[in-house]
Amino acid sequence: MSIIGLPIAVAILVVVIMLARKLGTIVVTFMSWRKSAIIAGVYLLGLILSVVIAAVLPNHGFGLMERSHTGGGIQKGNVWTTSYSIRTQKDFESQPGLYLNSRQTFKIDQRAVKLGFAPNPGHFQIYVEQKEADDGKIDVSTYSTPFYVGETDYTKLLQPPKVIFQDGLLVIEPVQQTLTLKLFKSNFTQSQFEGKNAVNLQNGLSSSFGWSEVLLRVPKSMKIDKGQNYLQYLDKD
Amino acid sequence: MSLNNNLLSIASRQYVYKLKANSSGVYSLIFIQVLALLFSLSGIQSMSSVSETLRVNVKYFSADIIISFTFIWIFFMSLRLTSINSKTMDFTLVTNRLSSHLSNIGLLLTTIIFGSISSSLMGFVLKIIMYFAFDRSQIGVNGFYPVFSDILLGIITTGLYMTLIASMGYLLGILIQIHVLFVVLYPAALFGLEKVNPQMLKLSFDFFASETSPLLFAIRIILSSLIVFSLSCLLSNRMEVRK
Repeated sequence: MSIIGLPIAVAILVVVIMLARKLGTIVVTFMSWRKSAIIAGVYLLGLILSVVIAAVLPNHGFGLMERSHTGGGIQKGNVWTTSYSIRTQKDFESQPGLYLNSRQTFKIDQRAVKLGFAPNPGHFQIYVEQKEADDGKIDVSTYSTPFYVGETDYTKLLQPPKVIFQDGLLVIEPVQQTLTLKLFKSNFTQSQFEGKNAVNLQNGLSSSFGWSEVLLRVPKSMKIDKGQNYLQYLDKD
Repeated sequence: MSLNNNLLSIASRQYVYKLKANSSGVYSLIFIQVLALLFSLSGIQSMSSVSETLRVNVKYFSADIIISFTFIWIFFMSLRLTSINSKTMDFTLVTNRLSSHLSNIGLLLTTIIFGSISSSLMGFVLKIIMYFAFDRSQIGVNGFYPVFSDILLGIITTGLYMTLIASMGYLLGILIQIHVLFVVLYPAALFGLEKVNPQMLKLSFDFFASETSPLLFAIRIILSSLIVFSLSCLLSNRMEVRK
Protein backbone atom coordinates (compact mmCIF):
# COMPACT_ATOMS: atom_id res chain seq x y z
CA MET A 1 0.00 0.00 0.00
CA SER A 2 1.32 3.44 -0.87
CA ILE A 3 2.25 6.08 1.68
CA ILE A 4 -0.90 8.03 0.75
CA GLY A 5 -3.15 4.98 0.56
CA LEU A 6 -2.48 3.81 4.11
CA PRO A 7 -3.62 6.99 5.92
CA ILE A 8 -6.66 7.17 3.62
CA ALA A 9 -7.55 3.55 4.41
CA VAL A 10 -7.11 4.18 8.15
CA ALA A 11 -9.19 7.37 7.91
CA ILE A 12 -11.98 5.52 6.09
CA LEU A 13 -11.87 2.79 8.70
CA VAL A 14 -12.04 5.31 11.56
CA VAL A 15 -15.09 6.91 9.95
CA VAL A 16 -16.68 3.47 9.49
CA ILE A 17 -15.99 2.58 13.14
CA MET A 18 -17.49 5.87 14.30
CA LEU A 19 -20.54 5.23 12.13
CA ALA A 20 -20.74 1.71 13.51
CA ARG A 21 -20.60 3.07 17.05
CA LYS A 22 -23.31 5.56 16.20
CA LEU A 23 -25.33 2.72 14.72
CA GLY A 24 -24.74 0.77 17.92
CA THR A 25 -25.99 3.68 20.00
CA ILE A 26 -29.12 3.98 17.87
CA VAL A 27 -29.73 0.25 17.99
CA VAL A 28 -29.17 0.08 21.74
CA THR A 29 -31.95 2.55 22.36
CA PHE A 30 -34.29 -0.08 20.93
CA MET A 31 -32.62 -3.09 22.41
CA SER A 32 -31.87 -4.03 25.96
CA TRP A 33 -28.59 -5.58 27.06
CA ARG A 34 -30.41 -8.93 27.21
CA LYS A 35 -31.20 -8.73 23.51
CA SER A 36 -27.58 -7.72 22.83
CA ALA A 37 -26.38 -10.74 24.77
CA ILE A 38 -28.74 -13.00 22.81
CA ILE A 39 -27.56 -11.52 19.50
CA ALA A 40 -23.92 -11.98 20.56
CA GLY A 41 -24.67 -15.59 21.47
CA VAL A 42 -26.49 -16.29 18.23
CA TYR A 43 -23.65 -14.67 16.27
CA LEU A 44 -21.07 -16.80 18.05
CA LEU A 45 -23.18 -19.91 17.59
CA GLY A 46 -23.50 -19.16 13.89
CA LEU A 47 -19.74 -18.85 13.61
CA ILE A 48 -19.17 -22.13 15.44
CA LEU A 49 -21.70 -23.71 13.10
CA SER A 50 -19.73 -22.39 10.12
CA VAL A 51 -16.69 -24.34 11.33
CA VAL A 52 -18.80 -27.50 11.50
CA ILE A 53 -20.24 -26.84 8.03
CA ALA A 54 -16.75 -26.21 6.60
CA ALA A 55 -15.57 -29.48 8.15
CA VAL A 56 -18.31 -31.58 6.56
CA LEU A 57 -18.35 -30.03 3.09
CA PRO A 58 -17.28 -32.62 0.50
CA ASN A 59 -13.86 -32.04 -1.01
CA HIS A 60 -14.74 -33.04 -4.56
CA GLY A 61 -14.75 -30.24 -7.04
CA PHE A 62 -11.62 -28.61 -5.75
CA GLY A 63 -9.40 -28.23 -8.77
CA LEU A 64 -6.21 -27.78 -6.94
CA MET A 65 -5.25 -30.88 -5.07
CA GLU A 66 -1.61 -31.08 -4.27
CA ARG A 67 0.51 -33.64 -6.12
CA SER A 68 2.08 -36.27 -3.98
CA HIS A 69 5.56 -37.24 -5.09
CA THR A 70 6.00 -40.93 -5.59
CA GLY A 71 9.68 -40.85 -6.38
CA GLY A 72 10.59 -39.10 -3.17
CA GLY A 73 9.86 -35.50 -2.35
CA ILE A 74 11.46 -32.79 -4.37
CA GLN A 75 12.43 -29.58 -2.70
CA LYS A 76 11.60 -26.26 -4.26
CA GLY A 77 15.30 -25.48 -4.44
CA ASN A 78 15.88 -28.42 -6.78
CA VAL A 79 13.51 -27.13 -9.46
CA TRP A 80 16.15 -25.67 -11.71
CA THR A 81 18.55 -28.57 -11.45
CA THR A 82 16.02 -31.31 -12.11
CA SER A 83 16.54 -31.84 -15.81
CA TYR A 84 20.28 -31.37 -15.96
CA SER A 85 21.00 -34.78 -14.57
CA ILE A 86 19.01 -36.69 -17.23
CA ARG A 87 21.29 -38.90 -19.22
CA THR A 88 19.30 -42.10 -19.74
CA GLN A 89 15.66 -43.03 -20.12
CA LYS A 90 15.69 -44.47 -16.63
CA ASP A 91 16.59 -41.03 -15.32
CA PHE A 92 13.18 -39.84 -16.43
CA GLU A 93 11.46 -42.44 -14.32
CA SER A 94 13.66 -41.97 -11.29
CA GLN A 95 13.68 -38.18 -11.39
CA PRO A 96 11.36 -37.24 -8.51
CA GLY A 97 10.48 -33.77 -9.73
CA LEU A 98 9.45 -34.68 -13.24
CA TYR A 99 5.79 -35.27 -13.92
CA LEU A 100 4.65 -37.36 -16.86
CA ASN A 101 1.73 -35.39 -18.31
CA SER A 102 1.15 -37.14 -21.63
CA ARG A 103 2.11 -40.29 -23.55
CA GLN A 104 1.37 -40.97 -27.20
CA THR A 105 2.42 -43.63 -29.66
CA PHE A 106 2.52 -43.01 -33.41
CA LYS A 107 2.71 -45.85 -35.89
CA ILE A 108 5.05 -45.23 -38.77
CA ASP A 109 5.33 -46.71 -42.20
CA GLN A 110 7.82 -49.57 -42.02
CA ARG A 111 9.54 -48.19 -45.11
CA ALA A 112 9.99 -44.75 -43.57
CA VAL A 113 13.45 -44.32 -42.29
CA LYS A 114 13.52 -40.61 -41.64
CA LEU A 115 11.90 -38.48 -38.98
CA GLY A 116 11.65 -34.74 -39.52
CA PHE A 117 10.86 -32.02 -37.00
CA ALA A 118 8.81 -28.90 -37.42
CA PRO A 119 10.41 -25.82 -35.86
CA ASN A 120 9.95 -25.93 -32.12
CA PRO A 121 8.30 -22.68 -31.03
CA GLY A 122 8.20 -23.69 -27.39
CA HIS A 123 11.92 -24.40 -27.23
CA PHE A 124 11.27 -27.67 -25.50
CA GLN A 125 14.14 -29.82 -24.51
CA ILE A 126 13.78 -32.96 -26.65
CA TYR A 127 15.47 -36.16 -25.61
CA VAL A 128 15.83 -39.02 -28.07
CA GLU A 129 16.38 -42.63 -27.28
CA GLN A 130 16.86 -45.25 -29.98
CA LYS A 131 15.12 -48.51 -29.21
CA GLU A 132 16.74 -51.93 -29.42
CA ALA A 133 14.40 -53.00 -32.25
CA ASP A 134 12.61 -51.62 -35.30
CA ASP A 135 9.05 -51.88 -34.01
CA GLY A 136 7.57 -49.26 -36.35
CA LYS A 137 6.44 -47.01 -33.49
CA ILE A 138 7.47 -43.64 -32.13
CA ASP A 139 6.70 -43.24 -28.45
CA VAL A 140 6.36 -39.64 -27.35
CA SER A 141 6.23 -38.85 -23.65
CA THR A 142 6.00 -35.31 -22.35
CA TYR A 143 7.16 -34.38 -18.89
CA SER A 144 7.02 -31.22 -16.89
CA THR A 145 9.52 -29.92 -14.39
CA PRO A 146 7.96 -28.81 -11.09
CA PHE A 147 5.68 -25.80 -11.04
CA TYR A 148 5.42 -24.16 -7.67
CA VAL A 149 3.38 -21.33 -6.30
CA GLY A 150 4.91 -20.43 -2.97
CA GLU A 151 5.59 -23.76 -1.36
CA THR A 152 2.88 -25.73 -3.14
CA ASP A 153 3.44 -27.94 -6.16
CA TYR A 154 0.85 -27.52 -8.92
CA THR A 155 2.69 -29.34 -11.72
CA LYS A 156 -0.32 -31.58 -12.24
CA LEU A 157 -2.32 -28.65 -13.59
CA LEU A 158 0.03 -27.96 -16.47
CA GLN A 159 -1.19 -28.94 -19.91
CA PRO A 160 1.20 -30.98 -22.03
CA PRO A 161 2.38 -29.65 -25.38
CA LYS A 162 0.38 -30.73 -28.40
CA VAL A 163 2.13 -33.47 -30.36
CA ILE A 164 1.12 -34.24 -33.98
CA PHE A 165 2.79 -36.69 -36.36
CA GLN A 166 1.97 -36.40 -40.02
CA ASP A 167 3.81 -37.38 -43.19
CA GLY A 168 6.99 -38.15 -41.34
CA LEU A 169 7.01 -34.77 -39.62
CA LEU A 170 6.74 -34.42 -35.88
CA VAL A 171 5.15 -31.20 -34.66
CA ILE A 172 5.38 -30.23 -31.00
CA GLU A 173 3.42 -27.12 -30.19
CA PRO A 174 3.12 -25.35 -26.87
CA VAL A 175 -0.38 -24.91 -25.44
CA GLN A 176 -1.21 -21.43 -24.18
CA GLN A 177 -2.63 -21.76 -20.71
CA THR A 178 -4.00 -19.40 -18.09
CA LEU A 179 -4.24 -20.61 -14.53
CA THR A 180 -6.28 -18.78 -11.94
CA LEU A 181 -5.58 -20.01 -8.45
CA LYS A 182 -7.44 -19.07 -5.31
CA LEU A 183 -5.42 -20.21 -2.36
CA PHE A 184 -6.00 -20.10 1.37
CA LYS A 185 -3.32 -18.67 3.57
CA SER A 186 -3.03 -19.13 7.31
CA ASN A 187 -4.03 -16.07 9.31
CA PHE A 188 -0.98 -14.13 10.43
CA THR A 189 -1.84 -15.04 14.00
CA GLN A 190 -1.18 -18.69 13.10
CA SER A 191 1.60 -18.37 10.55
CA GLN A 192 3.68 -16.38 13.02
CA PHE A 193 4.58 -19.62 14.80
CA GLU A 194 5.74 -21.15 11.53
CA GLY A 195 8.21 -18.27 11.22
CA LYS A 196 6.35 -16.74 8.26
CA ASN A 197 5.64 -13.30 9.66
CA ALA A 198 9.08 -11.89 8.95
CA VAL A 199 8.81 -8.77 6.80
CA ASN A 200 9.52 -10.24 3.38
CA LEU A 201 7.08 -9.35 0.66
CA GLN A 202 8.40 -12.05 -1.64
CA ASN A 203 7.71 -14.74 0.93
CA GLY A 204 5.15 -17.15 -0.45
CA LEU A 205 4.63 -15.19 -3.63
CA SER A 206 7.34 -16.65 -5.79
CA SER A 207 6.46 -19.07 -8.51
CA SER A 208 8.57 -21.22 -10.76
CA PHE A 209 7.28 -22.30 -14.10
CA GLY A 210 7.23 -25.89 -15.15
CA TRP A 211 9.15 -26.45 -18.35
CA SER A 212 8.20 -29.19 -20.76
CA GLU A 213 10.60 -31.96 -21.57
CA VAL A 214 9.84 -34.35 -24.43
CA LEU A 215 11.15 -37.89 -24.62
CA LEU A 216 11.09 -39.65 -27.99
CA ARG A 217 11.71 -43.34 -28.31
CA VAL A 218 12.32 -44.12 -31.96
CA PRO A 219 12.98 -47.36 -33.85
CA LYS A 220 16.58 -48.49 -34.02
CA SER A 221 17.29 -47.72 -37.66
CA MET A 222 15.38 -44.44 -37.90
CA LYS A 223 17.37 -41.47 -39.06
CA ILE A 224 16.49 -38.12 -37.62
CA ASP A 225 16.51 -34.78 -39.33
CA LYS A 226 16.46 -32.52 -36.31
CA GLY A 227 15.77 -29.27 -38.19
CA GLN A 228 16.29 -26.29 -35.90
CA ASN A 229 15.65 -28.27 -32.77
CA TYR A 230 18.15 -29.04 -30.13
CA LEU A 231 18.06 -32.77 -29.46
CA GLN A 232 19.83 -34.63 -26.76
CA TYR A 233 20.52 -38.30 -27.41
CA LEU A 234 20.21 -40.48 -24.37
CA ASP A 235 22.64 -43.19 -23.47
CA LYS A 236 21.42 -46.75 -23.60
CA ASP A 237 21.95 -47.05 -19.78
CA MET B 1 -8.50 -9.02 53.41
CA SER B 2 -11.91 -7.44 53.77
CA LEU B 3 -10.61 -4.43 51.87
CA ASN B 4 -9.51 -6.71 49.03
CA ASN B 5 -12.82 -8.55 49.07
CA ASN B 6 -14.62 -5.28 49.09
CA LEU B 7 -12.57 -3.97 46.18
CA LEU B 8 -13.17 -7.11 44.15
CA SER B 9 -16.90 -7.18 44.86
CA ILE B 10 -17.21 -3.50 43.96
CA ALA B 11 -15.15 -4.02 40.81
CA SER B 12 -17.22 -7.04 39.80
CA ARG B 13 -20.48 -5.16 40.35
CA GLN B 14 -19.14 -2.30 38.26
CA TYR B 15 -18.04 -4.80 35.66
CA VAL B 16 -21.57 -6.18 35.35
CA TYR B 17 -22.99 -2.69 35.19
CA LYS B 18 -20.51 -1.60 32.53
CA LEU B 19 -21.01 -4.78 30.56
CA LYS B 20 -24.72 -4.03 30.33
CA ALA B 21 -24.10 -0.37 29.55
CA ASN B 22 -21.61 -1.12 26.77
CA SER B 23 -23.49 -4.03 25.25
CA SER B 24 -24.06 -1.96 22.11
CA GLY B 25 -20.40 -2.64 21.26
CA VAL B 26 -21.42 -6.05 19.98
CA TYR B 27 -23.35 -4.48 17.09
CA SER B 28 -20.40 -2.38 15.99
CA LEU B 29 -18.15 -5.45 16.17
CA ILE B 30 -20.55 -7.53 14.08
CA PHE B 31 -20.86 -4.67 11.59
CA ILE B 32 -17.07 -4.27 11.38
CA GLN B 33 -16.50 -8.00 10.94
CA VAL B 34 -19.15 -8.36 8.23
CA LEU B 35 -17.64 -5.38 6.42
CA ALA B 36 -14.17 -6.94 6.71
CA LEU B 37 -15.60 -10.22 5.41
CA LEU B 38 -16.84 -8.43 2.29
CA PHE B 39 -13.40 -6.88 1.77
CA SER B 40 -11.78 -10.28 2.29
CA LEU B 41 -13.80 -11.78 -0.56
CA SER B 42 -11.57 -9.96 -3.03
CA GLY B 43 -8.47 -11.56 -1.53
CA ILE B 44 -5.71 -10.24 0.65
CA GLN B 45 -2.80 -10.65 -1.74
CA SER B 46 -2.46 -11.35 -5.42
CA MET B 47 0.28 -12.05 -7.89
CA SER B 48 0.59 -12.63 -11.57
CA SER B 49 3.36 -14.31 -13.54
CA VAL B 50 3.72 -14.82 -17.25
CA SER B 51 5.92 -17.09 -19.31
CA GLU B 52 5.84 -17.95 -23.02
CA THR B 53 3.00 -20.40 -22.61
CA LEU B 54 1.67 -19.90 -19.14
CA ARG B 55 -0.05 -17.06 -17.34
CA VAL B 56 -0.65 -17.60 -13.64
CA ASN B 57 -2.94 -15.41 -11.54
CA VAL B 58 -2.87 -16.21 -7.84
CA LYS B 59 -5.08 -14.75 -5.16
CA TYR B 60 -4.62 -15.50 -1.50
CA PHE B 61 -7.48 -15.54 0.97
CA SER B 62 -7.44 -15.43 4.76
CA ALA B 63 -9.12 -13.79 7.73
CA ASP B 64 -6.28 -11.27 8.12
CA ILE B 65 -8.47 -8.28 7.24
CA ILE B 66 -11.19 -9.42 9.66
CA ILE B 67 -8.64 -9.81 12.45
CA SER B 68 -7.01 -6.45 11.65
CA PHE B 69 -10.39 -4.69 11.72
CA THR B 70 -11.12 -6.33 15.06
CA PHE B 71 -7.80 -5.00 16.37
CA ILE B 72 -8.78 -1.48 15.38
CA TRP B 73 -12.20 -1.99 16.94
CA ILE B 74 -10.74 -3.05 20.32
CA PHE B 75 -8.41 -0.04 20.23
CA PHE B 76 -11.38 2.28 19.93
CA MET B 77 -13.37 0.30 22.50
CA SER B 78 -10.59 0.71 25.07
CA LEU B 79 -10.28 4.38 24.18
CA ARG B 80 -14.01 4.78 24.69
CA LEU B 81 -13.84 3.31 28.19
CA THR B 82 -11.62 6.17 29.31
CA SER B 83 -13.77 8.86 27.72
CA ILE B 84 -15.35 11.60 29.81
CA ASN B 85 -18.78 9.99 29.45
CA SER B 86 -17.55 6.74 30.92
CA LYS B 87 -15.69 8.57 33.70
CA THR B 88 -18.82 10.54 34.55
CA MET B 89 -20.77 7.29 34.64
CA ASP B 90 -18.24 5.97 37.18
CA PHE B 91 -19.25 8.70 39.63
CA THR B 92 -22.77 7.42 39.79
CA LEU B 93 -21.35 4.25 41.35
CA VAL B 94 -19.58 3.60 44.61
CA THR B 95 -16.09 3.52 43.22
CA ASN B 96 -12.45 4.38 43.42
CA ARG B 97 -9.91 4.60 40.63
CA LEU B 98 -8.60 1.09 41.11
CA SER B 99 -12.01 -0.58 41.09
CA SER B 100 -12.91 1.45 38.01
CA HIS B 101 -9.75 0.27 36.23
CA LEU B 102 -10.32 -3.33 37.29
CA SER B 103 -13.87 -3.30 35.99
CA ASN B 104 -12.73 -1.65 32.75
CA ILE B 105 -10.01 -4.25 32.27
CA GLY B 106 -12.54 -7.00 33.02
CA LEU B 107 -14.87 -5.57 30.42
CA LEU B 108 -12.04 -5.31 27.90
CA LEU B 109 -11.05 -8.92 28.55
CA THR B 110 -14.64 -10.01 27.93
CA THR B 111 -14.78 -8.16 24.63
CA ILE B 112 -11.34 -9.54 23.75
CA ILE B 113 -12.59 -13.10 24.27
CA PHE B 114 -15.64 -12.43 22.12
CA GLY B 115 -13.64 -10.56 19.47
CA SER B 116 -10.86 -13.10 19.21
CA ILE B 117 -13.22 -16.06 18.87
CA SER B 118 -15.49 -14.33 16.37
CA SER B 119 -12.70 -12.90 14.19
CA SER B 120 -10.86 -16.23 14.04
CA LEU B 121 -14.02 -18.18 13.18
CA MET B 122 -15.20 -15.62 10.63
CA GLY B 123 -12.55 -17.05 8.31
CA PHE B 124 -14.71 -20.15 7.92
CA VAL B 125 -17.68 -18.08 6.81
CA LEU B 126 -15.36 -16.67 4.15
CA LYS B 127 -14.40 -20.20 3.09
CA ILE B 128 -18.02 -21.38 2.94
CA ILE B 129 -18.99 -18.37 0.82
CA MET B 130 -16.07 -19.11 -1.50
CA TYR B 131 -17.03 -22.79 -1.65
CA PHE B 132 -20.50 -22.02 -2.95
CA ALA B 133 -19.98 -18.74 -4.80
CA PHE B 134 -16.65 -19.22 -6.59
CA ASP B 135 -15.55 -21.65 -9.27
CA ARG B 136 -14.34 -24.47 -7.05
CA SER B 137 -11.99 -25.83 -9.67
CA GLN B 138 -9.83 -22.76 -9.11
CA ILE B 139 -9.73 -23.11 -5.34
CA GLY B 140 -6.89 -24.85 -3.56
CA VAL B 141 -8.07 -27.33 -0.98
CA ASN B 142 -5.05 -26.70 1.23
CA GLY B 143 -6.11 -24.83 4.35
CA PHE B 144 -9.84 -25.16 3.64
CA TYR B 145 -10.70 -27.72 6.27
CA PRO B 146 -10.57 -26.74 9.94
CA VAL B 147 -7.84 -28.07 12.19
CA PHE B 148 -8.85 -27.73 15.84
CA SER B 149 -5.35 -27.01 17.18
CA ASP B 150 -4.84 -24.28 14.55
CA ILE B 151 -8.18 -22.67 15.41
CA LEU B 152 -7.34 -22.70 19.11
CA LEU B 153 -3.89 -21.26 18.49
CA GLY B 154 -5.40 -18.58 16.24
CA ILE B 155 -7.99 -17.59 18.85
CA ILE B 156 -5.43 -17.39 21.67
CA THR B 157 -2.92 -15.43 19.58
CA THR B 158 -5.59 -13.02 18.35
CA GLY B 159 -6.77 -12.57 21.93
CA LEU B 160 -3.25 -11.84 23.12
CA TYR B 161 -2.67 -9.28 20.38
CA MET B 162 -6.01 -7.68 21.22
CA THR B 163 -4.99 -7.48 24.89
CA LEU B 164 -1.83 -5.59 23.96
CA ILE B 165 -3.70 -3.26 21.61
CA ALA B 166 -6.42 -2.68 24.21
CA SER B 167 -3.81 -1.79 26.82
CA MET B 168 -2.26 0.72 24.41
CA GLY B 169 -5.65 2.21 23.60
CA TYR B 170 -6.44 2.43 27.30
CA LEU B 171 -3.14 4.20 27.98
CA LEU B 172 -3.83 6.65 25.18
CA GLY B 173 -7.27 7.30 26.67
CA ILE B 174 -5.74 8.07 30.07
CA LEU B 175 -3.10 10.29 28.47
CA ILE B 176 -5.83 12.20 26.64
CA GLN B 177 -7.57 12.68 29.99
CA ILE B 178 -4.36 14.18 31.36
CA HIS B 179 -3.94 16.48 28.39
CA VAL B 180 -5.88 16.56 25.17
CA LEU B 181 -2.67 17.28 23.26
CA PHE B 182 -1.82 13.61 23.57
CA VAL B 183 -4.36 12.93 20.81
CA VAL B 184 -1.76 14.40 18.48
CA LEU B 185 1.37 13.59 20.46
CA TYR B 186 0.80 9.84 20.64
CA PRO B 187 0.63 9.16 16.87
CA ALA B 188 3.18 11.93 16.23
CA ALA B 189 5.64 10.23 18.59
CA LEU B 190 5.17 6.95 16.73
CA PHE B 191 5.51 8.65 13.35
CA GLY B 192 8.58 10.58 14.54
CA LEU B 193 10.16 7.43 15.89
CA GLU B 194 9.53 5.71 12.58
CA LYS B 195 11.32 8.55 10.78
CA VAL B 196 14.18 9.05 13.26
CA ASN B 197 14.87 5.48 14.22
CA PRO B 198 12.84 3.05 12.08
CA GLN B 199 14.94 0.18 13.33
CA MET B 200 13.65 0.66 16.88
CA LEU B 201 10.03 0.49 15.77
CA LYS B 202 10.80 -2.59 13.69
CA LEU B 203 12.55 -4.18 16.67
CA SER B 204 9.57 -3.53 18.92
CA PHE B 205 7.26 -4.95 16.23
CA ASP B 206 9.49 -7.98 15.76
CA PHE B 207 9.63 -8.44 19.53
CA PHE B 208 6.02 -9.65 19.30
CA ALA B 209 5.32 -10.53 15.68
CA SER B 210 8.47 -12.52 14.97
CA GLU B 211 8.33 -14.66 18.07
CA THR B 212 7.85 -18.24 16.94
CA SER B 213 7.39 -19.83 20.35
CA PRO B 214 3.76 -19.55 21.51
CA LEU B 215 4.78 -19.63 25.18
CA LEU B 216 7.38 -16.87 24.86
CA PHE B 217 4.95 -14.86 22.76
CA ALA B 218 2.25 -15.18 25.43
CA ILE B 219 4.69 -14.20 28.20
CA ARG B 220 5.87 -11.16 26.25
CA ILE B 221 2.34 -9.97 25.49
CA ILE B 222 0.99 -10.57 29.01
CA LEU B 223 3.93 -8.83 30.69
CA SER B 224 3.83 -5.89 28.26
CA SER B 225 0.08 -5.49 28.66
CA LEU B 226 0.41 -5.64 32.45
CA ILE B 227 3.07 -2.94 32.34
CA VAL B 228 0.96 -0.71 30.07
CA PHE B 229 -2.23 -1.22 32.15
CA SER B 230 -0.27 -0.53 35.36
CA LEU B 231 1.14 2.62 33.82
CA SER B 232 -2.39 3.70 32.94
CA CYS B 233 -3.49 3.12 36.57
CA LEU B 234 -0.49 5.02 37.93
CA LEU B 235 -1.01 7.95 35.58
CA SER B 236 -4.72 8.19 36.34
CA ASN B 237 -3.98 8.26 40.10
CA ARG B 238 -2.14 11.53 39.57
CA MET B 239 -5.19 13.10 37.96
CA GLU B 240 -7.68 15.37 39.68
CA VAL B 241 -10.72 13.66 41.14
CA ARG B 242 -13.22 14.52 38.45
CA LYS B 243 -11.04 14.69 35.39
